[in-house]
Amino acid sequence: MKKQIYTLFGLLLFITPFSIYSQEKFTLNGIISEKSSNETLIGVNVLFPEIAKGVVTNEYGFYSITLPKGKYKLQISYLGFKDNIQEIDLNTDKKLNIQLTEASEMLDEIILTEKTEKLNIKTPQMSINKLTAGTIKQIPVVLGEADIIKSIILLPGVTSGGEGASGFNVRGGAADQNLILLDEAMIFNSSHLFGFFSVFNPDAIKDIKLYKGGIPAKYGGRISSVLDIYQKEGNSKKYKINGGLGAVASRLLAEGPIAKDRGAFLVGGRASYAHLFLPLFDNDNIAYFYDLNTKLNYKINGNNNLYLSGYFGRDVFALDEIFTNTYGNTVLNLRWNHLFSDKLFSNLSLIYSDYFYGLELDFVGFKWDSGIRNFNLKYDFKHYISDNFQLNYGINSIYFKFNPGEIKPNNKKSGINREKLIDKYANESAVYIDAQHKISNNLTLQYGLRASHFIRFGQEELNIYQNDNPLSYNQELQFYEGNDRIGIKKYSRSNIIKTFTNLEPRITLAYAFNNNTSIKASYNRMSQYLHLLSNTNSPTPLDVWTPSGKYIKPQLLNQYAVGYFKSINDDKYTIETEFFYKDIKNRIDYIDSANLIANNAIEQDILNGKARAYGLEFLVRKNEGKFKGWLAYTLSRSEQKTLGRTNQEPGINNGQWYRTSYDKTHDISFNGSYEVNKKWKFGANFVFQTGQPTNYPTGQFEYQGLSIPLFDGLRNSEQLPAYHRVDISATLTPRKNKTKKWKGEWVFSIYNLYNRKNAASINFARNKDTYANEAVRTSIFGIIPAIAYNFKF
Amino acid sequence: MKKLIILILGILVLVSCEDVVEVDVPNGEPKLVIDASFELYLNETPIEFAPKVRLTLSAPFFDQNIPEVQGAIVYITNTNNNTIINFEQVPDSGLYVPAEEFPTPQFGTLYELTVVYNNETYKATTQLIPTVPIDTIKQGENTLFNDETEIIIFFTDDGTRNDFYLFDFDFDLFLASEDRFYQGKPFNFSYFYEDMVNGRDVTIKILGIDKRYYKYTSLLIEQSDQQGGNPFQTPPAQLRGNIINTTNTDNYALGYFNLSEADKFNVTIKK
Repeated sequence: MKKQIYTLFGLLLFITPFSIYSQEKFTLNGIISEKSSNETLIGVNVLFPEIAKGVVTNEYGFYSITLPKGKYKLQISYLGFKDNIQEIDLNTDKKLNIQLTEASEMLDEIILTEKTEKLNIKTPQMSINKLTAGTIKQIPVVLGEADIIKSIILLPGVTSGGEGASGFNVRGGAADQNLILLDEAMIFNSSHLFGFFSVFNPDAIKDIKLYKGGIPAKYGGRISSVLDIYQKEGNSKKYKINGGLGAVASRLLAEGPIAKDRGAFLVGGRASYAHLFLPLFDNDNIAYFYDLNTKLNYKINGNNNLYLSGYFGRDVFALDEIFTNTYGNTVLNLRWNHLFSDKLFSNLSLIYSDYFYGLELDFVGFKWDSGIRNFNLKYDFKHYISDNFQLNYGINSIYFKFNPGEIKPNNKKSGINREKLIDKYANESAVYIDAQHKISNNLTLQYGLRASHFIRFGQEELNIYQNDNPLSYNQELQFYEGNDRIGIKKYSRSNIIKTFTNLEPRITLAYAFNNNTSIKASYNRMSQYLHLLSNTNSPTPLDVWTPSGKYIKPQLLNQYAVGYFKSINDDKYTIETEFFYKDIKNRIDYIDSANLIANNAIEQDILNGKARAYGLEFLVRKNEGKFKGWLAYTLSRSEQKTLGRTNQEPGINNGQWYRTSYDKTHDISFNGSYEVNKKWKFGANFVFQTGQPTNYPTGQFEYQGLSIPLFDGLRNSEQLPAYHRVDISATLTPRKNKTKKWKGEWVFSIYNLYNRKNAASINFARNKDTYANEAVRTSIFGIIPAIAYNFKF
Repeated sequence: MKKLIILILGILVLVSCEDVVEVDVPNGEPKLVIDASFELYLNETPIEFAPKVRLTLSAPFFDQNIPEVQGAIVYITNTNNNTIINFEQVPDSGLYVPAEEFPTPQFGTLYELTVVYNNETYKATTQLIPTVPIDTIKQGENTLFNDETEIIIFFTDDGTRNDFYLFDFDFDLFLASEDRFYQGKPFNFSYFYEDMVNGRDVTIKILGIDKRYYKYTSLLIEQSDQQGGNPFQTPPAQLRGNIINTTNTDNYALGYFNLSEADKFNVTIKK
């Protein structure tokens, strides 16, 4: 592999100077933003139709393109906005900031802007889904709360563990393999209320991008996907307030200038109502969540911008003061955009993020805290070398501190001894370089390399085992059990326990047959050094993250994807078909008696396994007109296998492949919206999924008066009944809005219209009254009507 | 600790709905089940010890009747002095009780259980594991969700050893616990009865167990419990106890041979 990498670098070095000095050229650069608010726009097409060249704005609305001297027609187009077309005489390097006007505002109507997600036929990017806040808000969801994660689950290749399950699964990957970035900061838990809602307030979000494959070298650290979410910057022209009153939560967001046209703030809050699910009981029980999004931006001058982003969210449960549970994320990010030249854009980020989990159990007399915090320094460059060649490169270093848990007595009478689980420390750093290279009018490549390096620093105590073997297989009794440690090794924080280095090549190529049809192929290799210790169907907020080290190796992934892309009628319809295959090394699996809670010796309970997934995704979209929407179909398989370490050991599930709990053979989702007139708009979803893999008992036995279902078959060989449902919504925008400053809309929705009892699980147990064994189906959401009111002024 | 997750899940359960469904389940081969957990009450006068072994077979999940095993040979060997205590079958049942006086088990002695059934020999060994007494039990007034009844169990852990306990709350309700977080301390915790137990006499027991039996019972309790609506399910475990089929290892038996020192406490639940 080393050889291939040298070849790659050789290619880069060869091309770069060649392109720069070949002809007299000038550079056009600038920032594209929305006229009404100065909000920068991501992914805007900056096109030169006569010569078929173009560039797309980056995450900060910046573009740069270098062209031979000449007069050109310049066309800036972004769906939902009026095209900006102008003549440009490129006889010197030029800076051209352009402001676009919303198509809807020209008509002086308020409808939520629809920057419909456009398909880029020619760009060497595949396996990416983009959604705007506008699209997300139109998708009917449970209890009427617009939700990012519930929306991406409607896309091909994305599923979740089920209703009420945290996180999401991309292309048969586990929930902890998703890199979730909010303004570039890592989010460790994306769910509120155990997965009923996600932590992102859709009002504060500008743009989301989900990378399922072909992941560029700039991203690393998680192997399944990247969910890249950008918050709005705030309106630097005028003060605006918008908000909503929903069935579950209410939102309020304020934005406005701190210095006109130069700086803006944005503050958004969202809170659910207390006693959310528990009003039926006379106890003093509460369950609620809240979050706060903030952003400040300030334009120092044409070449320097500063951004400060923050997020704070918590979930709180309390049962009659005897049980209290609090958890959530905190994120703070300071960024500095700097233009070194009209071709070299840079962004320096200093990011802090943490995840906290706290629990107080008064009836046992203890308090429990755990969490993970990290400091991240990132410096990214985007170098617009020529119209055919752009380079992205950068460095990144993250320092992690893991607090696996601390238990404390919660009152003087409690018999609990204080115990601190050993803190762990690690550093993950990376350098990357990535080229976007247009070889010919038909062929474009993106290729790059990321080199990642992980250091596990010293900790107070590390368990040492005979022959470095933390667990054994008991041949006679036929189970795995932990070995007792033979000692501990003490380290100082500056010691290094273990290091890992991985080279992660990435390549995507796009071959366009014409302007409307292309094929694309990609390969990416990625590594993941953090592991979420979770042995449940979907992660729980209580699960702790643990770093790779002496006993746990980093997860390594290879993913291959090929796709066929077609745009019909100038993007009125788009069709995307992709096939993917991925294999993952070092996926940890758990022995039967594994205990993941407060475990200081997790190495005694885990085995090293592997995983693979493959599938076919199909997505057809209608992007324009009164009726818009998409139909997605995914056929896939996701499996896991853990062999014994020697011939004498069976491993997990007798060393055979078994379906993961998030394997969904067929997954169909349809989302559509129909705009009848300016007053009424309707939306609908239909979802069909193969039932989740599960286990049925092969028998029962009795022991000490207990009736115990016996599971002797292969793991996950049965499946729950198929999951399907229909949701509908209607949005009413009163006409009197036109003249008023206050603009409101009503959203009526019904989730699970035909009240299907979708099985979240089937449980096998003895009925406490009849003493007969039975299978009990649990379904989470039946039919749920909801109403919400959104406003802005 | 597993209870924590379950508790959190209570919230989920409240919005969900449950119903009984018909499911075709696979049927495995019947396996011998050896239920041999003996409790020794050293604090009672006279000392109480009533060992019994129950032999059954595993059955298809929805069967109403569990087949009882008759005509097996059951005996226990004290490996210190190689004495054998033979067990005899209670007529027409799968219960086997000592055919002769069973000398009070001693700490530090290895006992071996032998069961011969269908020409195959099953063996398991165990030792007597000490416990601490229950200091007292009080009734509390807290509830979790609805109308549970709270009882508070007080006991004092022995600081000189790592203890594992199995609490038996009557009505086939069990809880396994380890002393890791209350080593050597007077400790109390609450247990909540879900069903109405008002006015009933309840016997609560504490059993000293070893780590392996602690793990086994934890799994057993978890797997038998009716935790409906749990999206946080762990994959079901293969429930292997400490019994070895010495004739044919693949045809393993289910169940466990356990010997615990125990203590009990009677309470009447107030209305």
